Parts: sequence; C-alpha cells; structure tokens
Amino acid sequence: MSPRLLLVDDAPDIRAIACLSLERVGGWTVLAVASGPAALEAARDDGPFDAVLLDVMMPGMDGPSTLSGLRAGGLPVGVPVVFLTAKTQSADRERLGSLGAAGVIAKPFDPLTLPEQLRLLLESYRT
Amino acid sequence: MADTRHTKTLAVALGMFLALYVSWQLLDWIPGGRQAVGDLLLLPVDAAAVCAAWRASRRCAGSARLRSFWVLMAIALAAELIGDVVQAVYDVGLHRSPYPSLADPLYLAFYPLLALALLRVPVALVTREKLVKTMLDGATIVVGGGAVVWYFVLGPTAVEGGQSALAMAVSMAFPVGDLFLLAGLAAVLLRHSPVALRAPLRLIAAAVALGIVADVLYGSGQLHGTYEAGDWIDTLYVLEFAVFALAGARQRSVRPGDPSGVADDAAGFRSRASWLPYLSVAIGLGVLLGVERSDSFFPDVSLVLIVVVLAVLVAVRQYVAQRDLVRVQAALRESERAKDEFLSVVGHQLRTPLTSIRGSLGLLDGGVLGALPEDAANMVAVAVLNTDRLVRLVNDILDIERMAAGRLALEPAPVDAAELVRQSIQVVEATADANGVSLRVEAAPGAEEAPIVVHADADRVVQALVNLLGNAVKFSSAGGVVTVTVAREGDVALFAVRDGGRGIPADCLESIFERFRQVDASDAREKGGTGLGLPIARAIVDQHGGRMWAESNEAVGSTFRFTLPLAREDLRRQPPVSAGVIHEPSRRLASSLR
Repeated sequence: MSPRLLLVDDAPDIRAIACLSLERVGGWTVLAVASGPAALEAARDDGPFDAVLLDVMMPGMDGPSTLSGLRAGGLPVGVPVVFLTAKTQSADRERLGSLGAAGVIAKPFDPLTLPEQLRLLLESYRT
Repeated sequence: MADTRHTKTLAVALGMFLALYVSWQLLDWIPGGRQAVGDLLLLPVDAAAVCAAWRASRRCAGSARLRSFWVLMAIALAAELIGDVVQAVYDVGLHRSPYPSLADPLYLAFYPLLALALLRVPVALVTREKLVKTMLDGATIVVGGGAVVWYFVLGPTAVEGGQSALAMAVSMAFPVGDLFLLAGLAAVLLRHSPVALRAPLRLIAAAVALGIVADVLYGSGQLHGTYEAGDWIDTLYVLEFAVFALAGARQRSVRPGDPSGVADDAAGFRSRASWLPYLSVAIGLGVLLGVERSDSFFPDVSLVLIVVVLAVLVAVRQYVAQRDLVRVQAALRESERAKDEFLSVVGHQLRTPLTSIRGSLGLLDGGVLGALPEDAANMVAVAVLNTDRLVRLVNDILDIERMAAGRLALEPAPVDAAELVRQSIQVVEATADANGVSLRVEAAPGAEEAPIVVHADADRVVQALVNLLGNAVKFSSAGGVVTVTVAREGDVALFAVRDGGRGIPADCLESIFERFRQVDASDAREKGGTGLGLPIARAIVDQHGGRMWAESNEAVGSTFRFTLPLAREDLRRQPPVSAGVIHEPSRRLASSLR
C-alpha cells in the first residue's frame, strides 16, 4: 500500500498540482484539504497519515497554528510535518524549523522533483 | 537684462561718490565745518541703500516672502538714514553731540528689523529643532565674539574712561548686534535659501561684516570721546551702505511661480560649515588664555562666567542635535523595516502565481499528464525554462535588495570549507554533465588531516560558490574543466574557481561585479543568467568580511577568487565541526541554477 499524505493548502490550483505530482510521480496517496480546521478534522477522522505537507500562509488558521493543533490532537508525534512556503528568508525558515517541522519546501517547486525533495526531508528527519 | 544695467549704473555712481568722499576725507576740499559736511555726506549713500532695497521689493512681485524681506530691509536701512539725520540735527543744528543720543536707538533699531527680515527668507524644512539649533548657534557666536570685542577693544577703554553703564552698553550693542546678524545671515546662506536671494544675501553679509569693524571703532571712539562726525571711520560706514545699496540692486526679478524665489530643496543641506559656531568656543577660551597672560583688567570670575555660558550653550545645542539625530534614526529604522516588509510581501505575491504556473508547466513538460505533440512539448519546454529564469530573477532581485539595505542576516558558524565545496558541486553537477564540463576539486595539501574550517553562513557561501561555479560551467565549452581549490592563506581561507573558458577582457574584471552587467549583452539571453549572480556572490563574501575578485587571461580562462575568515577553531587547530547535512534542499540552492 502506498504511503498516505495529508496536503493542506488554501489555493486550489496548488492543491491540484501538488496532488498530481505527489501521486503520479511520487506514488503517494494524497488527501488534500483547504484549511487548518479541515486538516484537524481529517487528521482525526481519516488517519493515519505517514506525513503532512502544510502551507504556511493561509487565511484564518495559518500553518504554524495548524501544526500545533495537529500535535495537540489526532496526529501522532512521530508523523513528520513539512512546511510549504513562498517566504524563503532564512529567518523565516529558521522560525518554521523551530516549530518542530521536519523541513521546509520553497514555492515555487518543480512538480517533477517535489516528491524527491519530500523524500529527502523525511529521510533525514527519521535519522 | 535691465537688472544688470541698473546694477552697473549704480555701481559706477557709488564708486564715483566713494572717490569723492575719500578725496574729501584726505583733502577737506568742501567748504563748511568738517563735522557738518561729514554728517551730510552720509545721507546720499544711506538714501541710495534705502531706495535700492525698496526697488528690490518691487521686483519680487512673485514671492510674498521675498517682497516682505526687502520691505523690512528698506525700513531697517531707513532707520539708519533717520538716525543719521538726527545726528546731523544734533551736530549742525544744536551744536552738541551727546553720547548716547536719540540717534542711537534708531541705529540700534536696524538690528531687530534686519533680523525680522531674515526670518522672512523662505528656508526649506524649518523644523522647531533647526530653529532652536540656529538660535543657539547664534547665541554661541554672539557670546564668543562679544567676549573678544569686549576684552580686547571696548573693555580697556571703558575701564580707563570711567564711562556710564549706558554708554558702555550702547557701544557694546553695535558690534554684538552685527555679530548676531552675521550669524543669522550665515545660517540662512548655509540652508536652502532661494537661489534668487543668494547674491544679495552675500553682499548684505559683506556689508554687515564691514559694519562690525566700523562699529567697534565707532564705539571705542565714542567712549574715548575722540569720535565726531566726519571722522575717517565714517568712510567704513559709507562703504557699508554702498554695499547695502549694491545688494538691493543685485536682486533679480522674481515673477510668480519662479522657482528661484522659493527655498531650494534640491541643493541639499549644506552642513559643511555647521562647525563654525564652535569656533567661538575656541575664541572664548583663547580670550581666557590671552587675558591670563596679559595684565587682567577684569576679575577672573567674569571670564569663568563667559566660559560657563559658552559651555552650556554648546551642551544644550548638542542635546538638541542629539535628540534630532535620534528622531531621524528612528525614522530610518522604520523605513528600513517597511522596506523589508515590502520586499517580503512582494516576494510572496510574486512567488504565489509563479508556483501555479511553474507547477502546471512542470507537470505538462514532465509528461506526467501524458505525452504532448512535439511542437506543444517544445513550447512548454520554453515556458518552463523562462519561468525558472523569472523565479531566479525574483529571488536574486530580492536577495540583492536585502543585501543593499544591509538586511541580509548571516548565521555564521564554524564549517568545513571542503563540505561547502562539496555541497556546491552537488548543485551544479547536473548542469555541468549536460554541458559536457567536468568539475574537479583540488584538495589543499594537508587538508585531509586538518580540514580548513571557516567562520561562515554555510547556505550563503554555497549560494556564492554555486553562482561562481554556474558561471564557470556556462562559459566553458564541452570537454572543459572547472577546478575548485581551497587553501589557507594566513588567517583566511582562499577559494578559487578556475575555468578554461573564453576569459574576461581586462577592462571588465571589475565591472562584471556590477548589477546586470555582462561582458557580452547577448549572454543574458544565451546563458540564462540574471546578471545578478556575481554581485550577489561578492555581496555575500563582503558581508563575511572577505574579498572577491576576478583574474583572467583571455587565452587560458578566468579565475574567481574569494577569501573567508578562518574559524577560531581552525586557528587553534582543533578538530573541525562538520558542516552537517542540510535538512532541506534549500530554495536558494535549487534555484540558483536551473
């Protein structure tokens, strides 16, 4: 069975692109949701997931607060969360890293290499 | 140029009058009492000055402030004229010459009137702080300069002569008033005074400077009882008022909307002479020393008082200036923060649509959604290539903007130089392979046992190295070799990236580090560069306290070298700290090269 990924991004076109990339190139099974609250719900009801790919800038509940919500309930501690962000200053990345994420992937991403980027991050997170 | 002709005619007339006056001073050829003739001869030149100022006010129809400047100037000069008339009445009509007399209040009225006139000069950007500073500067000049006049000129005569306090005060008031005006004139001239008023203002300043000399001699003469109208000192007054008259004549016409009539913002604040007021502090102290050495005619306590007043003035002035500076710095910080915020938002706003475009194109280009017809595939490939270039451009522009603003936060740590090279090579490997260029790392002798450890921000140095390596690969032909070396050089590590490409002309070795500057204009298109790679690389190295430069031999190729500081660990020859694994393929690494 292919690994399951929870994708959280408010932009529908990004969800569509990332889904195609991760499913067809990376062989993931992806559940895509559009907001933080939807992610919390999915983590509770549709789990378990092997990883979470989480957009940082979302209206209402943003990426970091979604992360703490996920950790507070539903998502087991060992499941890695990777941020997806268009903010790429090293200070921003540092801040995101300190939240306990497995890593940060920058937008724009290449859909052909996105699964590979994710794989590398998850690998180094496990070790 | 009617204005110029007027000026010339007036100058000639004044010159002739002056010649007449001097010849009379020397030869006394005009019949009548010397005193009476002396009094009366002052009046024409006074009147000329009043008329010139009045006419100048008529020429400044375009600027209400300039017009009122000249009107006040005319009134101030008229006060002097009436003063001279009153003096003549004393001397000729009443045959007695008291000092001080009713003429003196009129003479003294000149100072506040001219000061008021100066306040009407449109000066840009007058803040309360600047006004306070200017007044403090003026006070400093007056106290310092006044001290000199008093101690060396008026004081001794006053003490000898046993004059009344009023007479001493009036004698003192003239030169001190002149000094104050001179300070005010300097302040106006040093700021953004209107272009049209500069030449007249300089002449007025010259006249006031003449007035200082004349007034010191006049005051001293009056205290001694040696002065009477027609004295040679009056020549200085005639000259002073001739210059005032010329100043009025030099005022050119200012019509409504004329930019020369308003404060000149573009000139910038001319602060070169802002230290001048402090000269009077030195003068004040000089007085102290001078009096200490000569036979003091005044108790030391008054000297101490003057020095204390000067010191307090300077201290208060510094306090005001400091507060001003703090305010400016806060505004600057705020604007930097706003710029940072703006760059961050722009970056985000540009990257968001680019993510969708690049993502969709990437899926099409990679055949993930099925094979495309050949022509379509070619077009999509072109779109992918150029989207990548656009992304690089956005990233590079934002980087260089942050660097230019000095807002690039480095996170330096001890890191193995070989590891930095290895990571950089990894990024450019694919492109090098595609171009048939081989990458070679030459280890420094002994680096195996004692790795070279630099104190640097690993991500940023890799970015710089990738930019250099990327260039080297781009400009090498197939089969070429790009070599990277690192070596210790004293207390720095010296990195070098050498290629066997076409080389760089000697006159471009420096200019290639400028933004958007490429040796060949077609390079940007053919090689897909942003024109920002080298400036960014140099800025990164600069910020580490290192240096980057290029050497080239057009037959052999180019070498780019840069230095980075060695880590203390390296200098102490302790075991190096590993660079560690980067936790994510950094955006900068991924995007620095296509």
